[in-house]
Amino acid sequence: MMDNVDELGNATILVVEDNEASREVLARRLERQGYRVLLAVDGRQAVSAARTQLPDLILMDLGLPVLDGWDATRQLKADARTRHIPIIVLSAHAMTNDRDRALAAGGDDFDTKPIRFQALLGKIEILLNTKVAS
Amino acid sequence: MRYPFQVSALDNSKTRWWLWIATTLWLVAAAAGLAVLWNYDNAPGERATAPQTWPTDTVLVRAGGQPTLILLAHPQCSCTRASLAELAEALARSTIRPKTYVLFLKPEGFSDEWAVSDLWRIAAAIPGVTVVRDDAGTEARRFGVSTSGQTLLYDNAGTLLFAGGITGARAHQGDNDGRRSIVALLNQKAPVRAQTNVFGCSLFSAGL
Amino acid sequence: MLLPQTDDPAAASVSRRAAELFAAHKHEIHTRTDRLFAGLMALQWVGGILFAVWVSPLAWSGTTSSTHLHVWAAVVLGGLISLFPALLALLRPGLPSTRYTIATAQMLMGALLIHLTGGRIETHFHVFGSLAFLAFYRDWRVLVPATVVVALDHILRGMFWPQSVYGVLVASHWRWLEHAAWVIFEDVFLVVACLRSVGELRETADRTAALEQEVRTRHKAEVDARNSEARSEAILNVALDCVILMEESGRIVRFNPAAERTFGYAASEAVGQPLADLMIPADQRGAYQDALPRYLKTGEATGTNRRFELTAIRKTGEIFPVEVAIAPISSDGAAMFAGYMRDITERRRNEAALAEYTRDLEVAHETQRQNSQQLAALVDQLRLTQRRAEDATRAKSDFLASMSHELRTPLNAIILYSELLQEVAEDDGKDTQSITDLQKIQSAGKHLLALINGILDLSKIEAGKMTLSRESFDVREMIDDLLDTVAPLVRKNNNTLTVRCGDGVGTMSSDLMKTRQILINLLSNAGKFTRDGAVTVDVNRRAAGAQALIEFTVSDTGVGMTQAQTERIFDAFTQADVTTTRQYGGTGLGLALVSRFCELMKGSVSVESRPGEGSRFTVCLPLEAAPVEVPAVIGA
Repeated sequence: MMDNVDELGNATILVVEDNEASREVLARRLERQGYRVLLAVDGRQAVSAARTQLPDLILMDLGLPVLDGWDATRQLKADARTRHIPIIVLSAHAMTNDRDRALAAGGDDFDTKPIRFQALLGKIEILLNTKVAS
Repeated sequence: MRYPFQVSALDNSKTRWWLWIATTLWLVAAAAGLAVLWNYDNAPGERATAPQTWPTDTVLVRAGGQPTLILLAHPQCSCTRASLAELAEALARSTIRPKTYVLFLKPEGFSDEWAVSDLWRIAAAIPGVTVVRDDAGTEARRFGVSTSGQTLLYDNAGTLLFAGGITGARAHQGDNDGRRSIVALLNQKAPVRAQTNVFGCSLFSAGL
Repeated sequence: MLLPQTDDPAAASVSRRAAELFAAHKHEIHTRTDRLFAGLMALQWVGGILFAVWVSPLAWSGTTSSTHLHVWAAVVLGGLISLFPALLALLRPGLPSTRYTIATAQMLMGALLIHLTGGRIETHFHVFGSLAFLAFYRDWRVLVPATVVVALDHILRGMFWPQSVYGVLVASHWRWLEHAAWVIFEDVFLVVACLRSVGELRETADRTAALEQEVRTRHKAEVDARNSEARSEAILNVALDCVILMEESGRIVRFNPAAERTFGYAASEAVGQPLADLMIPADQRGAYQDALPRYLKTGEATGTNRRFELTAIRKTGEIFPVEVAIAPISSDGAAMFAGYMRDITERRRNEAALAEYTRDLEVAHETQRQNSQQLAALVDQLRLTQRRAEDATRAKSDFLASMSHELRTPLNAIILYSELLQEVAEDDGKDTQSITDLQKIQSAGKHLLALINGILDLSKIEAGKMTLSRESFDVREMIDDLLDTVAPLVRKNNNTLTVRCGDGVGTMSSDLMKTRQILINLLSNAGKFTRDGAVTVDVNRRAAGAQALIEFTVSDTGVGMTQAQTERIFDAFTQADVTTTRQYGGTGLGLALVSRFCELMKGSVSVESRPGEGSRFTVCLPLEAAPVEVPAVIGA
């Protein structure tokens, strides 16, 4: 049923995505992989959810209402409580400076949409392991 | 025409100084020379010591009613020419004609030609003059004359009226006291002087 | 002085000259007279000696004789008195000191002579004669020392040798006074004569100087006049224009060389001829011949003192145009005319040519102006078009930017969902048909994504909005990484995939994404167009001059292409063949992107292919990409 879940335990991933379909599918696929998934529809929700739930990883879409991905990332990284949470920034734009900007804002990794799911899983693993190791 | 006129190279202050010296010396020499000359010409000869009365032993014949005028001359004395000229002058101015003798000295040993010089001829040419040769100067001595040109004037009586020279200076013709005196005396007027200086050669050599 | 004193420098110089002449003349007189007296002195001396020797050679003292002092006096004193001034006259002639000395000596000599001759009256005339002679000097001052000597002679004699004036003071006073009176009378007379003579000398000098000046002035005037004349002649002779002088009746008086040349007449032929007959064609003489008498009568003329053009005629009969100016001049009362003519045949010709050129130029100008206008209009149009294009491009890129996001978002969902469904179906053990159907959805979605990405990339490149990034990455790692993506594609057609890396291939500093994309595109093509074949990737380090390159060679043993096809394949939406899409799939964008990416990264891509044998694509990229900060533009 589920694969690759053993070492991870029950890692919690916060998915921040404003598009419903994308959000749904991503959540379901991650759950199938064994992760616990939290959802947020905008930046503000993302920040508050992260603060309260303290997920193990955040997947942050950039084009968000209310508070966009950049600012949310920045805020979370600025906050001592949430600084430690790795953030993978997702963007529909595939422009180079998006990547640099995201990383500059504090993002730990970057991916473009449409998402290559397998690659994404790999990135998540790496970051969770790094976090576990530290 | 020289243009512009150039001054001789000798004319600078140095030369001019020399010039002054030279000119002064020259003037002094000339003046001295002239002085010497004048001195000589104005040096009178020895005066005569003429007898006051006509000597009786003279060969000259005294005319009774005339004064007698004697002039003694050295035949070679050139200065006496002036005296002879004065004599002629005096005779010409006189109203009374004196008996006039001109004695020419002829020393011994000298020829007749020596004595009969052109002075003799000049004297002979004067009218009224008798020229006499005075051998050995006997007459001259008799009259006490030693200088050529000495003139003696005796009056009618044989008294000496005038004894002296009739030239102003040696060989100088011209108005003089002697001639004036003679003329005055011959014109029976008072003479200027009775005696004047005689200018002429010495009749006798020194010592004689 | 004859000439008045003025401040005029010319007059001053004349005065100076007169003074010079006067002084020179006087000097000459003085010198001459000095010489005269030198001779006279000698004569007197000799005369004195002769007289003394003749009259009183000996002084007697009785029988002894010696040389008379007078002789000595004549020789020595006479010599002394005579020779010193004579010497001065020869050595220093013309000087006042000389003549005063001479005057003194002359009178001293006189005193001596008087003495030697015994004071004769005749000899006293020596005094008067001497004074008169001294007047030859024209300098009255010489009479002064002379008179002084005479006076002194008498005074000193009177003082020192009174015997000589012995007792006759009164009489000799008169004598002396008479003598003095004669001397004074003569002195006065002579002084007056001297002064007058000097005055005349002065006048002569003045006049001569003035005359000299006159001569000089006149000479100078003559020379000036001659020069002026020569200059005027020269001016006329060298003038390039004809200068013709006419007298009242219109007859030629002067005909300068230029006129001779222009009209062909020698001056000798032309002089005396009426100008009209000679130089104006017969049919045009009328106007001229009327004008001249009218001018002479009324003094009015239209043709004088301005330039006008006429037709003239040469001796040869040739008619030619001239420019003429006639001006009346009056010289010495007679009216004359000066005519200046210039042969303007050349000028007319030039003018005509010029007029033509000007016309042509105007036409050209007009044409050019029209062209310019057209050009301007075109330029405006072009600008407009350009602006529109720019606007279009901007609009397009803006559109793209927004579309990029819009297109990807649903596609993201499609792909992910289809993947999900596939996973679920696999897990649920659904039949292969469902799985295949889902796979089809997936592949369609992936294809759509590829298309969208390709189009968006191309459009970005076209719009100049494509940016290059730069990062260091290990080449080998990158290739390994993309093999995961690419291997399935290759192996799908039963192909083998080989990767060979040469030595020295380490890290690249370049745009990772694009390098990957290039290789992915090439490999997927290779895989697609090869069946049961081999796909090989060779990576080597190369050098092109100073630059280090990484060369990626993707070769396959696939269908290959013809030469014609190879030339087209890098174009967008172009595949080797119109049938290729149907047969092989693909978007036709892959190689277009490869080529554009290579261009952007300052690399190169080339292809070799042979139909049926396979293709080889070679991509060279700089090992170290240049740092980029601005959006890269193709062709920059």
